[in-house]
Amino acid sequence: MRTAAAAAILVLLLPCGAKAQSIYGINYIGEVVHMGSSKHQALGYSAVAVQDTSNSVTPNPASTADLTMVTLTVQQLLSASRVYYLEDISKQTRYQVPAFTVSFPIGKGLVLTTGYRTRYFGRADFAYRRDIEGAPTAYENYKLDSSLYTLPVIVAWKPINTLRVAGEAQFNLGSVVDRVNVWFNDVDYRNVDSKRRRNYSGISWGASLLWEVHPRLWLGCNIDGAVDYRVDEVVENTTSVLDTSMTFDYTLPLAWDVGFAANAFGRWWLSSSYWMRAAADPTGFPQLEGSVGNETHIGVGIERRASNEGHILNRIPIRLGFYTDKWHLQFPPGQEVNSIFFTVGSAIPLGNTPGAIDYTLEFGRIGSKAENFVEENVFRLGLSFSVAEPWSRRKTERH
Amino acid sequence: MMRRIYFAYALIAAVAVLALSAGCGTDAEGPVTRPFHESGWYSPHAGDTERYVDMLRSVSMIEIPYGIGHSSILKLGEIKGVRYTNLLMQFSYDSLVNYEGMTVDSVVLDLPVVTVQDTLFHLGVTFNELLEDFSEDDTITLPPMYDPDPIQGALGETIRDISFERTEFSIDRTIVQEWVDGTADPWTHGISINWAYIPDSLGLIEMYAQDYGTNPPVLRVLFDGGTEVILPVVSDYAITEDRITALAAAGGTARRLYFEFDLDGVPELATLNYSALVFHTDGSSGLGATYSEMLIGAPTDFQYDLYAPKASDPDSIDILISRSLLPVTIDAKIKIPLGQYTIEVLNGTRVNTGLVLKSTLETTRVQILAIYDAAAGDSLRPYIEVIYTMPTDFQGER
Repeated sequence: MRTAAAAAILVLLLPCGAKAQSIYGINYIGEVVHMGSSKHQALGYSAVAVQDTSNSVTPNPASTADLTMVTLTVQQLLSASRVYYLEDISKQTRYQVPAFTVSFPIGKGLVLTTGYRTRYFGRADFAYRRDIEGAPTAYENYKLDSSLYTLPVIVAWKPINTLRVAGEAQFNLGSVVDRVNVWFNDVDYRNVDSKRRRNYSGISWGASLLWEVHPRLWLGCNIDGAVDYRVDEVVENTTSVLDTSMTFDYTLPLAWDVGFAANAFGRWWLSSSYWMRAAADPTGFPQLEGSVGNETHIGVGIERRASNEGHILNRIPIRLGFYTDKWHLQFPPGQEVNSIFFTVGSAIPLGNTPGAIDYTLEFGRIGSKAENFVEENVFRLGLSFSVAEPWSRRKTERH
Repeated sequence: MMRRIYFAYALIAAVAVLALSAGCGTDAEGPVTRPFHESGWYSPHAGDTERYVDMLRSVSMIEIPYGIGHSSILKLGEIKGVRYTNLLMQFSYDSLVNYEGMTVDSVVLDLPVVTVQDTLFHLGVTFNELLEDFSEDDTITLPPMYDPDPIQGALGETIRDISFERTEFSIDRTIVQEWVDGTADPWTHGISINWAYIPDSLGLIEMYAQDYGTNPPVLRVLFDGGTEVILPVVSDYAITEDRITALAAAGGTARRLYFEFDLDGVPELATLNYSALVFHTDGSSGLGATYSEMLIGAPTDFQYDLYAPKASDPDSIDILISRSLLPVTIDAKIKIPLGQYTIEVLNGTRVNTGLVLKSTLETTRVQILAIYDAAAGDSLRPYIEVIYTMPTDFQGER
């Protein structure tokens, strides 16, 4: 299993040129990064109340209390989109650094989970041409290279058969780096470089609950506590006398979500969730004053769960979903940015273990030309790889 | 078995990832991010990049005569305002010792003329015995003292006419006979070849110098019986007179151009992309190489040094900014990048002492770089060009 897991991680880490999830992610931390595996993704990110016995990356950390083996999950998102602005079209391919966690059952109904989760991922690279009298053509180059991530330590507990709870300590780290460069197509001309680097660090807390109200009805909720970031900002320039440094505090407000999962009939389950985060004070981004609002997500999913017998098509799940996001960023100021997505996915079981490969396709749109001038039509591929095996001593082979 | 299945799955995932990567290229984001950027929603904005032209406080010439005694070519006449007024020659008389008691039949001064510009140009000169010594290492602007009575020819002539056809001149044989007999000393300090008059039209006569290595000027002494003895020149020198009227840097004579400026118009917070000294060459007044110099392979481009002088002395080099070649016989706009120099001047780590342009070959030969001055109008006058960028605004305050 270890070899396969290592191979999977290598495969999923292959695309190094990571880009933001969306063209709208060019700015400001707090971009919606949905939590959970591709199973969750296939259900329109509505599975906060869906029991998950195969994935360590889950939308509801309390769900990991059901894991009975050491479980590694790696999740990767790939996205291809077309961005429209007036008559311009830009094709974009984006990758996101995979999320991965490992869960260790340390006692009956007690599971410890740790790993890596992306909170914000921003990449941009664009240039404008400048014509200056008497000089060769110059280019203004802009590059955003940002990643905020969380190293979670989760303890999930199943005190009674119908209840799972989890507490989470989150170590939040990362940086947002903006680079600006004025470049001439002539070696006699000196580039002028500027770089602003903001290092973010902060600890936050989370709690979650998954309640089996009835074998056919589950409820779930999460609280993702506010992150009080300390931000160390350093601005460096070609002319060092212009360099500055400062420190400020930035608070990413608390987020919460609630949802249910209900067995409609047979193997068919319906799930839904609502997630929101209050508008953040745009500290450090004065240009966004009046352009930040509440962030919400509504997801709905239908799953036909896998059967243990019958035709192969009966033994794989079928998942459909729909979700809509309201972004925290407003563009133009005061104008909400909404996205809508349809999802479809399934899974391939990994032998007789709880592990699985979950895969999902998403089709959707972020923003609209009519309201936001910029519209992005997106196709995403989600892939999760979960492997599990009992945590027991291996027999040593001697040759 | 299970491991093989895992590998198969990993392989499928890899293929899916690579297929998506290969199938979807990424375009430039510039056009579609424009509204975010132009509205300030995405806040970083590069500062404005501007061009500033400093018309220079003054451009002047510094005259620093340098000797060109080691030149490979000797010249008489005038070209582009540089007048070659005198040739000094010193001979080796060592060979004469072996001919004591013999009778001198004739003596000829043979000048190895290479070219004459224009072809029909000829110049009347006198040969005078030098009364003072000279050295090729010296800077000589006036001829050393010489005997005002010219050395006579075989027929008593004193004025000789040098042209492309006439390069051998007789010397009164009695002069050399006295040297052979030991009744008179040879021309101890050599001779000076001087203009006898100023011709109606000017040109240039060029001949090999002893520094060329072969075929130097010689005195050929023919004794009775047909024995010939060669007395070669062992030291020679062409004295120049600077009559350049253009704003020019020149080697040999020598002139340097001194540019003074202040850069007050560059904002304090600007970061320099580029700076250059810009001027327009006046090809009609420039000189890269004379014809005979070209024949011996001398480069025709003007080899220059651009330096910042020490504050107290424009002649002395504080920092060399640029050394390269320039065309000087065509009209051209020349930009010499100033690199780090202007950056240091603007950030206060270097005192602005101006810029001096000089010939790298000041001590070797004459080259002339003529440029248009302020009187030629704004389109041709020299200036300092600066391209700078203002600081990036990261806070969206623009």
